[in-house]
Amino acid sequence: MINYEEELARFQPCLEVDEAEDAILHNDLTDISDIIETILKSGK
Amino acid sequence: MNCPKCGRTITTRRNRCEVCGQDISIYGRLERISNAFYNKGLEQAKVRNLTGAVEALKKSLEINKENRNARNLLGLVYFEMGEIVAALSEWIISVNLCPENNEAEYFLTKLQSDNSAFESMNQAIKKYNIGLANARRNDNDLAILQLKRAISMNPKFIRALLLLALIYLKTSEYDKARRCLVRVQKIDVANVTALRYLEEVRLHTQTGALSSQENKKDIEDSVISKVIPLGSYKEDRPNFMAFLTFFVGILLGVVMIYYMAVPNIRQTIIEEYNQKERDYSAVLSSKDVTISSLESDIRILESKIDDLERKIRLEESYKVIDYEPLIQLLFSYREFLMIEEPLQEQLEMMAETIATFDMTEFTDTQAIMLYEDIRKDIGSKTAIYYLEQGMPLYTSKQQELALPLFETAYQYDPHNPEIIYHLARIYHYIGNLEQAKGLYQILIEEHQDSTRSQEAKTYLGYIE
Repeated sequence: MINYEEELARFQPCLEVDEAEDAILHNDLTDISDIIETILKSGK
Repeated sequence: MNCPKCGRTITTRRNRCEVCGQDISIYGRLERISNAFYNKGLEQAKVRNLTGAVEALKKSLEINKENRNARNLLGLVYFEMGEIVAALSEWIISVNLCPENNEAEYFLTKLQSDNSAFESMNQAIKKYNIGLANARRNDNDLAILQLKRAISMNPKFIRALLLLALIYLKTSEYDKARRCLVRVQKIDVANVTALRYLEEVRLHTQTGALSSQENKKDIEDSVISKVIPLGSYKEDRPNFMAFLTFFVGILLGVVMIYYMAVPNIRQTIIEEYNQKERDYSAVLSSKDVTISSLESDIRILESKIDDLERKIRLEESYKVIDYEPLIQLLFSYREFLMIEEPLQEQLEMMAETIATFDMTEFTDTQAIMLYEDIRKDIGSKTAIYYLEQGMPLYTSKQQELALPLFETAYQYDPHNPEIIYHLARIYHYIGNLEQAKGLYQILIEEHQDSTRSQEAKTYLGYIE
């Protein structure tokens, strides 16, 4: 049996097109290469 | 890929950057892993497992954010799921990371070119958000209304379909919920939420099915109770009206087919014919372009052939003459002139060199004149050398010994009157009168200004 309230809580509001700029700006673009580079730099 | 240190483009086959020497083996491996996740995502997207594809493509980008194919495909998958903002975000990031020859530009242009569809999708998002807010306020009727509108504006909006299905589940409208979930599965076959909700629907509809079977039995029972027992047998009369209706129906059917289907079929055939004509025209025009380009190629090649033939003729007209032997001869002559008193061997060698020199190759007048000047100069010098050698023998009356020297001198310079005179005198002395006579005559005829000419006349008179 599913719990309606729990299921409903999983649904989040969808970003509108006007808010796409914020979504792009706050997109975390860090990948593993960046992490490795950071580790190597900190090691030096 | 680009070197993480200096940013230069490098091949992943190498383990080190050729420019800065940075070890890039790990980056190459990461790129390969990222591509493997992209391939997995692509395979899943092809079989419409969009949820799985999103997971794989996200992993691919976590490993290599610059995997353009993965990012573009992720945007496309989001778009297919109705997540237009997410799709736009991925494509815009993709274009920013790799601006050249990026397919994301095509997606963005195509999306922006259809303003009405784009606006409709945006409106669908707004309706979904309103519907979600209504559902959270437990205002299910309004929520269903808004979500239905959202789905009508964007039929592939999976999030709206799932929320609508959830509300239907709550309101125990399981058939409607199932229809929504089936629509979700047509878009994304492995959507986990849809599968869970379907399981819920199945649990409720099984009990519902049992109750409906019981209802059906009740209905059947009630029907049976209403059956009337059969009476006595009566033979049916032929029903002409039924036959008439049947034939009229067939006739009407044929007429309808003729007036409705035939024009459509004809139109389809005409359209196919026109399409083929357009295709052939396109093929013909492309062939024309090819032919014209080939003709221009032929013209260019012909002009090249003409140029080459002209060059060949020009080359043939210039016969290459090797002046090297003549130059060598000039060097030898210059060295000889630098000797103050040349020996007999040196003189003879120089004279031999000149005598055996092949001038037949040279057609240039200047070259021939130069050779003749050298030949005359060396000949004169050699002749004088032999003359000087022979004169003591001549004066001491040793004519037999002097003869070969004067003969040699005459060979080298047959125009020196002193040599001719003394040789003639030697011939005269030893009794070779014919030879002496000939030489006296040469002196008289060709060297009239010479003092030897008068003497020759006197001696010729003695012979005659």
